[in-house]
Amino acid sequence: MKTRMMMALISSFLLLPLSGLQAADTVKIGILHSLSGTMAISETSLRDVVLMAAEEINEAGGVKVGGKSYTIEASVVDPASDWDLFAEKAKQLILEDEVAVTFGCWTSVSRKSVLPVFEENNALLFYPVQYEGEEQSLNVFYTAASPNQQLIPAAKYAIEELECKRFYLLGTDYVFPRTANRVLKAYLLKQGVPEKKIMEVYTPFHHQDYQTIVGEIKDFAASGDACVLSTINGDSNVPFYTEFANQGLTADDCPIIAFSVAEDELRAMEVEKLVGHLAAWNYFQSIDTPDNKKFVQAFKAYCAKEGLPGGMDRVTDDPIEAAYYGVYVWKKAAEKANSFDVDKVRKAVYGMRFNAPGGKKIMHRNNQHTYKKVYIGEIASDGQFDIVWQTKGLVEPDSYSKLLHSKKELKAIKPTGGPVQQAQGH
Amino acid sequence: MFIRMVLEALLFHSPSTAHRPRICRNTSCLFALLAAVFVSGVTVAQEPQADEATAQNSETTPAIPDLNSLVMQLAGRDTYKPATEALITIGGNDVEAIFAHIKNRKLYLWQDRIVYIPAFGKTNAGVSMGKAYAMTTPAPGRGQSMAGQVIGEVSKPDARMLKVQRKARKQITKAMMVIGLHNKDVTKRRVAAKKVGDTRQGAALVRLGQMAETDKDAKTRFLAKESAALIILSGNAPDADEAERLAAAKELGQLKSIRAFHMLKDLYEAEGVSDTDAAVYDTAITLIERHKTVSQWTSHTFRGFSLGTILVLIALGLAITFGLMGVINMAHGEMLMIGAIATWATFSFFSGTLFSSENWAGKFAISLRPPDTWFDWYYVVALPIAFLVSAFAGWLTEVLVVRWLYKRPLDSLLATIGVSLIMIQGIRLWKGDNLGMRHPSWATGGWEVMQDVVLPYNRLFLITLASSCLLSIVLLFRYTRIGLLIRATVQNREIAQSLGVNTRLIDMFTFSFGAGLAGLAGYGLFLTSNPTPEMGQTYIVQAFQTVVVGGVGKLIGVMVSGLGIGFLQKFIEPLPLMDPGWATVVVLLIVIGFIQRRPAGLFPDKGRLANQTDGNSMPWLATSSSTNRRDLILAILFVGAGLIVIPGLYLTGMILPSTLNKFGQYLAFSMIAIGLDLVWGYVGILSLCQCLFFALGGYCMGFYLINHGPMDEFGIPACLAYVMSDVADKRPPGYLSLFHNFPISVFLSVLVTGGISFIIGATCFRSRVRGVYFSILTQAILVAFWNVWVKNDMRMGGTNGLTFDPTKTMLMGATIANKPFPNPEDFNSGGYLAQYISVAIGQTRFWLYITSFLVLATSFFLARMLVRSRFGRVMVAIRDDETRLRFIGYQTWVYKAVAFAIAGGLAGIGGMLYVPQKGIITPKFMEPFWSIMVVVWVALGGRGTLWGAVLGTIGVSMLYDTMTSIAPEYWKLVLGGLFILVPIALPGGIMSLPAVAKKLFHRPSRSDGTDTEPPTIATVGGHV
Repeated sequence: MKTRMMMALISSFLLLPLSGLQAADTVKIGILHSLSGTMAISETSLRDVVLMAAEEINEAGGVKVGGKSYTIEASVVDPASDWDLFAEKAKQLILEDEVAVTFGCWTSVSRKSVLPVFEENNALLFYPVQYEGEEQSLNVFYTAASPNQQLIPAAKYAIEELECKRFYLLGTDYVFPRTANRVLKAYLLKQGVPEKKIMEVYTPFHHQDYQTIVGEIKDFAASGDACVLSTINGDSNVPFYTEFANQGLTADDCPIIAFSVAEDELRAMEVEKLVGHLAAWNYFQSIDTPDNKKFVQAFKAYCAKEGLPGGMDRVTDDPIEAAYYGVYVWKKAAEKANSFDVDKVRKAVYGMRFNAPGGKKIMHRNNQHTYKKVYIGEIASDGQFDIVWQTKGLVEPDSYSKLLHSKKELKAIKPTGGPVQQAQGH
Repeated sequence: MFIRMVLEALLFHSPSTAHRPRICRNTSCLFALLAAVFVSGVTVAQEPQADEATAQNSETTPAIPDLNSLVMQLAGRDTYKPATEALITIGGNDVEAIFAHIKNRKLYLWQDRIVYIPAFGKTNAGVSMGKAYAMTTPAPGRGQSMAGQVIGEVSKPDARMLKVQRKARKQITKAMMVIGLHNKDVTKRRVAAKKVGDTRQGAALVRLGQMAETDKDAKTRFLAKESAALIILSGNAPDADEAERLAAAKELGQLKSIRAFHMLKDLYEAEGVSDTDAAVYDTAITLIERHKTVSQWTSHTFRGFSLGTILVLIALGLAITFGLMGVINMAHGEMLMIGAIATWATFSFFSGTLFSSENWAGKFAISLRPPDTWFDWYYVVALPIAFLVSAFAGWLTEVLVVRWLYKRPLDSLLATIGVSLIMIQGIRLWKGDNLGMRHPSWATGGWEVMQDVVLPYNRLFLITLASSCLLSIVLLFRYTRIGLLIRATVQNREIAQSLGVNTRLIDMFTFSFGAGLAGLAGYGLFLTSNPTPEMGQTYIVQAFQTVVVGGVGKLIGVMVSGLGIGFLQKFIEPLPLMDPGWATVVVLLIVIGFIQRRPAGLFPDKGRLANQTDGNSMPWLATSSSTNRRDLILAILFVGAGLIVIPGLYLTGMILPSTLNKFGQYLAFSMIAIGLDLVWGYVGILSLCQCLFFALGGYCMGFYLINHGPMDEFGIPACLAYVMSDVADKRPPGYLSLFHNFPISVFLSVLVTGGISFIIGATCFRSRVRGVYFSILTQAILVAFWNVWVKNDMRMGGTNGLTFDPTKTMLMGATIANKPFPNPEDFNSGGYLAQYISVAIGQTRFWLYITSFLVLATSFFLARMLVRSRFGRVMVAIRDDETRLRFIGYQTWVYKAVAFAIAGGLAGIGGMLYVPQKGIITPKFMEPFWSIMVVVWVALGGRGTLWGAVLGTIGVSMLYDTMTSIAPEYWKLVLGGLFILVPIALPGGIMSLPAVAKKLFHRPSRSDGTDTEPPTIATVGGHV
């Protein structure tokens, strides 16, 4: 692997001055995921899967536009979990590398950082991670869940199936958990849960010591009818779950429904302590369809072939699936529009129906998001999720939450970004 | 038939079981009693009798139920209900086993029958196969058939998981709990005893009553008693009257049952509760509350102790490398990480997963592979491995890097950052970020020392580990010869050397030992958090804090300060209005106040670092005759490049507008660096919070900009709207109204940054906080600010910060992005260049660049004037000998505070220039890393030259920007290497390059470096 990387490095140095002379029939895409820093643990997999999708498309003959087939050439950069650098890298991809589309970002702040860049230059970003909603930019396609596609079904499940009456909303202090809990709280209150039976607690990023909070949960859940709705993010999860188990709490006493723990995160955790806890997503590796099995196998084989850490032990999860089919959505849209022009591709994406590895999906006709099924999974001892509940059909995505805004407010909301307008003069 | 009904009454005594014969419903109370009498005779001794009951059941039931078809019916929408009830009625071990398998999702449909498949494993051909157990019809008098005969190997695709209807599952789960009360396994019985109480199952009462009296396990007896009382109190007991309910309430009070607390509270607060009832509830609540207070504070004390020992553990290694040896060891966190990774690697090695099974290493590992039952011992084996591997990494670091820098501790900061970058990326390239792990089984769970106080085993282990580390250090240092030699070398290297101590060897040993201790900390943390390449970064700040608060160079100080901080944090966190974030802020404020009161830590000592000031002196800078000429040349070059070449390239379209924009940002960064050089290079104060002022200035400008950008209908700026979209009163935050007017915003920004830095400076310097104590104090301030700023409820954008749409946001009457650059083909061919220039020159961002350059140039000029003024001479004098100056009669703190305020103000102005060019400002600049990066810029460029600050900033920033694009996987190695090489080869940074070059090429090198010459590898090498 190292030699491969070194070769790539050396050749990129050599080819740098020659880049103008490359074959005409290639189309460039940008990959904007952190490969170092705190987010690397999650984002590296997304780079891998986007590269795999590009390779698959190339092997199948490339993107056919204007009677020619274009080979995809990926431009990979490392924004290093540095939010300011994300904006700089976005500029570089759009203006210097002139990519047709960018796949990238994980955290809210990284998306907020690049958003003005994409809007100003009318470029296109596919964003593959569930997020807090309250956004609708014509320059972004959100291929993962908006809050109503993940949070509300989970809360419903907790009330109806787990028969929970007390809810402990625990999150890392940033905008996704804050908004998520706001949505959850609004929903729970609407369902008649009294306010004093809902607790809301936040910890800073990278919080490691969950002793006090778990003690508090133990007290809160002593009556045996409570659950934790967790939006804890990143490296805080291991200390939290470990402490939870070690203070003697189990999924029987107080189930945790997590919104940020997927199969890829479970790889880094001790699963035995987590068995029985739940997560809500729009995709699980355990979805039992031939398409999905093929996808999972292909991803493992790709990681092994490229010598990436983990190899055949790698797993797929919701963001990985969303990142993967994002590439195909873009390819299909470009072929349909018969152009790489952002405005034309955007139009072609609207209302597109397609089969993702996890099943059928539909791109929304105008709000940039994706119709998806919602699954609740229970963590099993092999690090996979047993699907215990799913919605009947696809759930329509909200861009702005119906629980947080009045109808009048929702009507007044207009998408941001879009085709370049002639700006005001100096 | 009778028995069957008894069993039924036992298992499912609830009104919902509608199928029950009428006779049973009418006489349910009587039946329950009868059942109690009957079963107490039958089931007390548990299993054998229970089997007998089943046997009798089978005998009296002529038709043997077909379990197979019943289970299959569970999947049907219409059939699940009778099937569930039939199964529950049948009961017995078979059904219990079936229910357990349903719960665990292990039942499969295969060849039209139900089979139990415990697990699927991979065969050599890569197919998932599993052993299928048949489900036979139970024969009379014989239980357990599900784990009996294997009827075949089933491949995973052939078997379909049995999808049981959800309502059936729920009913089964409840029935399972009651069944579980008879389980032989104590832990399962405990769980069941608790769960039937939680779900208030009246049907379990009888059995609970027996268990409360006769169960062998005390905890189970307690749980049974508690659950029974809970069920009665909840009104789910069929025959309990009001008096019994009150008795149950009383009993729960006496049991100090926290589980009953919420229910009692609800009952007490319910409307229409009679006074007598209320009094009973109240007594019970008071009893429980008292118990809660005691148990919680006992737990808090333990938690404080545990956190404290973890802090001690992570600080111990640093107490040696930094505290005793004086190396500002920024790679300490990575030594810790190496220890954790080594532990992880040991586990993987013995599990046969560390290496691919194809190469020789993998084959070797597999051949060595111990049986799985030895798993818990891997952790024991990992202890020496973690220590040795980290110690080896430490030894390498010492030999290759640190040995050159003992004379210059401040440069060791730069070099060890380089080491840390390389270590992080090395591990990442090897195994990636996502490392799976398993804890040894004994580390799960805890020891319940008193009711509701659980001490987790992993934390108890960490306490033991920390204490034994501490103890062994004390023993080593006090009672061994090598300890004596170490102490001698630390106290006075020259004398030790002259007495024949091989200080070189001692240094090597001490540093490796410190690194090994860090490795042990990583080994311990393996039990509480996950090993990743980045994990060291989480701990490094706390480690430095602990060492410095304790008093650099004193082990006892580390212990006291670690435990103190741990207790403080854990006692403050549970207080009302507190959360982990605010508690951290309060603890940091206490730490800051503490350092101000005791500027040399808890236990002041004379370590190598404590009595040296020479880390600051830079004798090679004393040459001044050539500086004027040098400055003139550099100034011409700088102005030429910044004001002519770059704008020229931009206006003619040779470089992209985004590149110009990037340079503008570098110039803004340079403002922080100039400020830091003033205080660090000239006054000798190392501040680790310069980016705080940068961020504050940036935020002031950000507030102004979002006030002039898109708003929602409530007048809330777009970037804050979604952060606050819940708040009932939708009003823009109050502070925003201060930032409507541009001059006022600028004024406020300078006032805030200059003011805060002056206050910090004045309070610290008056109480004579200096050296590393000041550095760590500023870092604590920074972290406190960060903890406040990231809070979303501060309504300042939280971690997302402030963003604005550049096409719609006005800065002094113009939008930030204006006049998009048209394509070349849009121009008519003739006047292409002229038209391009006219568009380019009209860009707000172009003028932002020009402004940045002019502001930087002016600041630079003023700073240069300052250091050459009388004030500047005092600054340098303070750096070189503050005590002497104070004796002469100077109020040195005033000079220091003013210099610090100027530095803060400069950083603030930098932030103001940065934000409109960047388009976002987030609290990331308040993370310790970025302020340390400023130190790196200045150190790399060359301290005390002002030029070095600017060159270092622009150089490193450019390298960072470029390398992350062209070598996304390797840039950390490149940057790390640079950070190591520069301080070793060029002690004065880039600015000393000409002098070093001159020395290398034009004069023969001398063996003794004189004071006027910068030491080079050759001369420094001569010292050691």
